[in-house]
Amino acid sequence: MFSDYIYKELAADTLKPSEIEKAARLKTRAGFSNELIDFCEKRLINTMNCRFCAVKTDIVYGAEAGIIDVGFGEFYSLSLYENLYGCKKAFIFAVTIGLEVDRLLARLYISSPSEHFITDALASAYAEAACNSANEILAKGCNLKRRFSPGYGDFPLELQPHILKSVNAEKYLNITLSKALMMTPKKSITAIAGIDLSEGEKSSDI
Amino acid sequence: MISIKEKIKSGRLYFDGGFGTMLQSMGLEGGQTPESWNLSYPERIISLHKAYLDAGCDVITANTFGINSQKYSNYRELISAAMDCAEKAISGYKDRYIAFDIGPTGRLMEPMGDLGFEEAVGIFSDCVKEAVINGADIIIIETMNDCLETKAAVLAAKECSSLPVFVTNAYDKSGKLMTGACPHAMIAMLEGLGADAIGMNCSFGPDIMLDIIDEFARYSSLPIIVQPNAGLPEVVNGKTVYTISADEFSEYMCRLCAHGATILGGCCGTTPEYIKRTIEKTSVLPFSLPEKKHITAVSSYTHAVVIDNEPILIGERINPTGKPRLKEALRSGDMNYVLNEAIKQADLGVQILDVNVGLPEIDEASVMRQTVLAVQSVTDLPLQLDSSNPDAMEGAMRVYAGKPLVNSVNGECAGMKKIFPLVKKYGGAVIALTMDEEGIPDTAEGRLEIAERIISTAESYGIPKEDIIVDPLCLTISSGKSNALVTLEAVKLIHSKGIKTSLGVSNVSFGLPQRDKINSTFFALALEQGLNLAIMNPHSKPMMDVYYSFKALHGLDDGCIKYIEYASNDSAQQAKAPDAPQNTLISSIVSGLKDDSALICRDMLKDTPPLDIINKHIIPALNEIGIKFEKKQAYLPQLLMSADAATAAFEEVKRCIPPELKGDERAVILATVKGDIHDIGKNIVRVMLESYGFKVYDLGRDVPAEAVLDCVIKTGCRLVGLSALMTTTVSSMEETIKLLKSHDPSITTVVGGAVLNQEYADMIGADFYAKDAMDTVRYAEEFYQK
Repeated sequence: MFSDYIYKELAADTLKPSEIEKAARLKTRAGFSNELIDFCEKRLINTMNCRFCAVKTDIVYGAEAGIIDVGFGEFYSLSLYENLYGCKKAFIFAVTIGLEVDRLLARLYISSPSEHFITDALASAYAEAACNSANEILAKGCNLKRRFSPGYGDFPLELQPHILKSVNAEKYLNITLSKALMMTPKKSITAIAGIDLSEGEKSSDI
Repeated sequence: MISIKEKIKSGRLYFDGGFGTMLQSMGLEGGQTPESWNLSYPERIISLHKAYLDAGCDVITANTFGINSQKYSNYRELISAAMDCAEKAISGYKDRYIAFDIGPTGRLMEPMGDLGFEEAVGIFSDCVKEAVINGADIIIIETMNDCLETKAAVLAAKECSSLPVFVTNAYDKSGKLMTGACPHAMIAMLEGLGADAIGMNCSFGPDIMLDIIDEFARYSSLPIIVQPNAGLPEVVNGKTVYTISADEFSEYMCRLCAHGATILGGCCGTTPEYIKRTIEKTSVLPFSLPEKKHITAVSSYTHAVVIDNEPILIGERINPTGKPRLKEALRSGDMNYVLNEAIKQADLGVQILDVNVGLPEIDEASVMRQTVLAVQSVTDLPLQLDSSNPDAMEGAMRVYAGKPLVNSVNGECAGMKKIFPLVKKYGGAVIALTMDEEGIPDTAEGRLEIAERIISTAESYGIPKEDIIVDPLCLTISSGKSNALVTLEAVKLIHSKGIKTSLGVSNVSFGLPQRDKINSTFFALALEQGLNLAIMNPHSKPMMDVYYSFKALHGLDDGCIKYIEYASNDSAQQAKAPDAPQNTLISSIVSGLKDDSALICRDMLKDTPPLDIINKHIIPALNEIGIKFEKKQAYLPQLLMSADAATAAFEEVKRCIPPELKGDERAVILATVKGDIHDIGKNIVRVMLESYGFKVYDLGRDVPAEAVLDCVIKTGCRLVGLSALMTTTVSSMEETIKLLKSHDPSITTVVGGAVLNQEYADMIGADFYAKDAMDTVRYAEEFYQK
């Protein structure tokens, strides 16, 4: 059962990807930058349109370990089952930094390979930062377990359509899926985060 | 019963409200789709329709929004059940209509997504055919987020039915579709496609629509539809509710009516109560249809360009006439070259791009279609589709996202018979050349007469006068001293009749030296006579000087802001030139200074042989940064910046190498293997190879083994680089290598990617394992030195 639908826009200039994340994506050392990287980052921030949506869902555990239902029917994923185990509820959420970033990358792919590489790397880091920001917002008033995305462990990518549908991601985030279940905008992330009841469920103030 | 097309002209029309959200309140659970209830709970669907009919709506929307042949193999059964429910509901009511509802497919159109245009048209056509069979009165295409998908749905509706077509899109808070289109862009396209009513639905609520509706009122000549949500869903006391009450909603609807909306309804979160209140409050308000606007505009998938007082530039560089490098690119399928031309012209400030790929030895229809799709993937400028081949024109008009500029027709009946039906079907503004079977008249009056004849013929096809832009033709002054004067007089005369004009400006100087001098002066004179559109080369500084100066002088540039910006950029460029030689080409490349490298190289070419520049400057510079990278004294972004700079220098050198010295190209085929869509590593290798002067045949990602072999056979290239990121795709790599070796054991393979190592490479029979891009370059150099 889904409840508590949440939609929020995230100001791009408030997102702070970690220097380690950026360096890992750029294949540099942490803190390294130059004029072009700074330029690409500023342009990227001006291009991003970050939003997320989420729903709270009940979790039903099957009789066998690994069988789980998070609101759209039973499926098997031992790794998700173990991640969520103990939680009665979870947030399903989707985050994107927008289609214009895909368009910018398409242009740069043609006009400047170096700017393409740098911008692509930074965009991935910013998508992670947007996801972290969404995670923090959802965690206000409750404890969230580490988020878990389709494709992690044995959490099947085939469930991506259900996850996107449950948060109305096509309508509010413009996230669509290809036949191969890849998301567009490409810098989008979906995840499930269990609401940890170990400290007792607190009411969300969202 | 009065036809719906008549009804929307004579009074307000009311649609029903939210359906999916109502079904949820009636027990639809997560995991169940609204359309499944057409079969499992038809009585509930019927009762909901009846509740809306009792609320007073004129049109009920069949529960078909989520049904299509891609999602459901039993789509016919589901549609039939939905229409049956609607028919049963409506049977006791007088003068009510059933709308067949078409929603988005849920996939994004190519090139950003993977839904092909014809595939989308096919999916929607399947639905429309069922709508016709099941007796729908209207097609409503709604909640569309994307300009091109909307177009595919409208075309399907038009091609498979004669039903009225209403279209509403979902605009967000920014006033645009989430894929970028503003209302004016959608209005221009949808009016051109022959929609009967257009507007907005869903999204964020009537308050947001109030911010958008004025743009509809300003530009739309069609009845305007508004079907808002009851706001956004929010959680209040633990329950999900919509934020706008029925009373507030109806107040907003009154305000939307005052701003021009004439077709009203609701979307998510609205109920029969919302519709009832809306009807009560708005049915007493005065009714008037939008006026006919007579706006000349073209559009892309994001915005419209209005052709009015301000002159518009059309970039002419994507046209092979007189451009050997573009000819070569089109023949070899080098789309990157074409796209670079598009990006450069857009950066230089043109508002429309001409696209002409007419070469006798290529399949123009196919290349034109591919080029239009590709150019629209890298720029949001509207395009001028330029072809004398009607098949190529139709293919391009069909897949074009927006309302194109069509180049061209002339006074010859045969041409108009072929092009005007296309313009009527797909929409477009048309360039009309003032020539006919008799040739080009010598006088301005003669050219006006042809223009008026073309306009009259267009009107007989239902194409309005404002969609015809007349090109009075510009002949070179080298073949007739009065040629420019006649053209200028014709521009003035045609302009005085309220007709828009266009010119291919540079034709005036054909056969003369230093053509920019003549072109720019003629351009200024033509603008003074009222020229609206100029097809020109934006790389020409004198032409751009005229354009920005003219606008500033004619009060078309508030505060001279555009002029100042242009002049400042110009000053910056000029200031940069003397400094550049302070760097050497080697230091510029090593530092990754792209513009400086090109500038210095251009300067060096005046007194240095091209091959010396490559061998003594570019390659040593690349080696220097390559060694730094290998020693971890430089990072990948720096290596790529140097590669960009070297490529810019190479481009300068290539122009100066005589064909006889070019010799055999050193080529490499690159592919990310079948099943793998990760291509960043492969792309980095491509860039590095290109910067070292290798010709790269980049086959992209997810490439089947057979395609790699085909490329080897077609190009004769014997060196193949294969990339894979996922463990699961190493088997594809092995399969590709086996296929290549079975064809010819001497074909050499280099493999790389995150998942590879020397052991894997040996196991799958690769000739070389490259740990990074520089490793590949070094191996390729060795390969060609053997």
